[in-house]
Amino acid sequence: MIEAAGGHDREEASRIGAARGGDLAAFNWLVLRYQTRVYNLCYRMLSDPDAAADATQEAFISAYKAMGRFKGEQFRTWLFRIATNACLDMLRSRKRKPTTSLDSFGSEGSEEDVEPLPVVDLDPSIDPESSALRAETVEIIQAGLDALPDDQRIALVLVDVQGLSYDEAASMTGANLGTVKSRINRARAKMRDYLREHGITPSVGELSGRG
Amino acid sequence: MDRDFKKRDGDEHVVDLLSAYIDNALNPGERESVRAHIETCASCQADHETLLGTQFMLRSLPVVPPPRAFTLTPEMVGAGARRESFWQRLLTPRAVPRFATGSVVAFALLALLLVGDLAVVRQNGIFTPYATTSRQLAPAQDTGAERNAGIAAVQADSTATTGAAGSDDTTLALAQPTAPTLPPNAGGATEPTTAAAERGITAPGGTPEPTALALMTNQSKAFGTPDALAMKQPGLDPYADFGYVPPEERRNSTVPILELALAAVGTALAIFALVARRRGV
Repeated sequence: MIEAAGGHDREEASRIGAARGGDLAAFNWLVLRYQTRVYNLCYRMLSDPDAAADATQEAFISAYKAMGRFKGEQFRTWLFRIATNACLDMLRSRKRKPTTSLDSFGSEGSEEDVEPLPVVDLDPSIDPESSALRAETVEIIQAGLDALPDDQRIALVLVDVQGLSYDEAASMTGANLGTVKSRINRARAKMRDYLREHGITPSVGELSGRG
Repeated sequence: MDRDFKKRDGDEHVVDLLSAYIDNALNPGERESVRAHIETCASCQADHETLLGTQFMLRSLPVVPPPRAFTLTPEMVGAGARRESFWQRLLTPRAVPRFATGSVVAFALLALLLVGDLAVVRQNGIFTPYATTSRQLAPAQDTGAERNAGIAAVQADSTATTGAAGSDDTTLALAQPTAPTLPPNAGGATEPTTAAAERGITAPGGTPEPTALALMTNQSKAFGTPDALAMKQPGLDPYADFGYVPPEERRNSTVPILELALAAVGTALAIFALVARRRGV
């Protein structure tokens, strides 16, 4: 869905090189470029703004510390793998502590009175304002994602929401290609059924009519 | 009918491939058979459309603006301490704020010492017996070495005044820079006591400031008799390490210059620490 801006590739390569040498300013350039995508990845997987913010921050800290081990592959794939693991850690810790519900995640976040920094996004292909979906439809889709098993939700978020290839999704989750195919197939069918149960008939044509 | 039944078998198979077909993740043979099947099977065609619609809706989810920027600070990655230079860490009293005031006091004392030394040098030439300098530097006697030297000088003076030739000693000491041919045994009656008093303070202490000690050494050498020193520590000249300079070469002595240089370096470091503190480095 979202393609990396080609004009930034050379700049990105030089920033990655500097960040590998420990240059925090160069790494923060990468943070500004990818934070919206990473946050959205986490948000769709965790369905909670505060938990998603925690996972995003954790992912960038982990990525900075691991920059020395980053080798050649696509930076986005590498970063998303770290973010996916951060989300999985958060999902596991949620399950270990059954009393920690989504509500309590929200109340924890209210303790922070830190004034948020202005968000500057360096990826020109991202337009947070545009959506062809109505707000209630978005809520139903998110609820449908929440209803999926973790592995199927992760696969569906990576491939359908983030627009990654099966290969990339396999690389990020450590699963083989056949497993990813199977998870996508089941997850997408379950999602369609969930939407139907909630009065939405998934169709490209109907969607454009609703806009 | 037989054909329809086969088609149903095919439906089951094609349904499993529909998502991969949508994502263009099938090999050419599979892809072609699915495409052909969809054209003839209304059920699979509907499945294909709804799955395609599901994917489209997922891809149409709005991008949620992040609640804040996730840029990292040095504290987040534990890199704050490593960013400072060696000299900043050495000279900035960050860990113990009390040292900040201490550095200012040290600066004041060093500056006073330097000014006092310069005044003495200006007045008396590059080499001056310590009995004179210790009096002129009275306000700067707060450091340990200065205090030791001061006590030594006071004790030497008191000894001298009680002695028969006390007033002569003082006159000789003050006159010494202009009288390089000082007799080695001048004021002999009081000299053993003076030397003993000085050594009693400096020798057991172990580490007074070398330059101050060196000055005192020169002084005691100048006034003390070789016999008296030999009696205290036979077979060992305790002052040999501090570069004893014979009276006739004293104008070229490097010892006061060394003291001045050390004081200047100390002052410079103290100024640096003061500036670093003011800037809150």
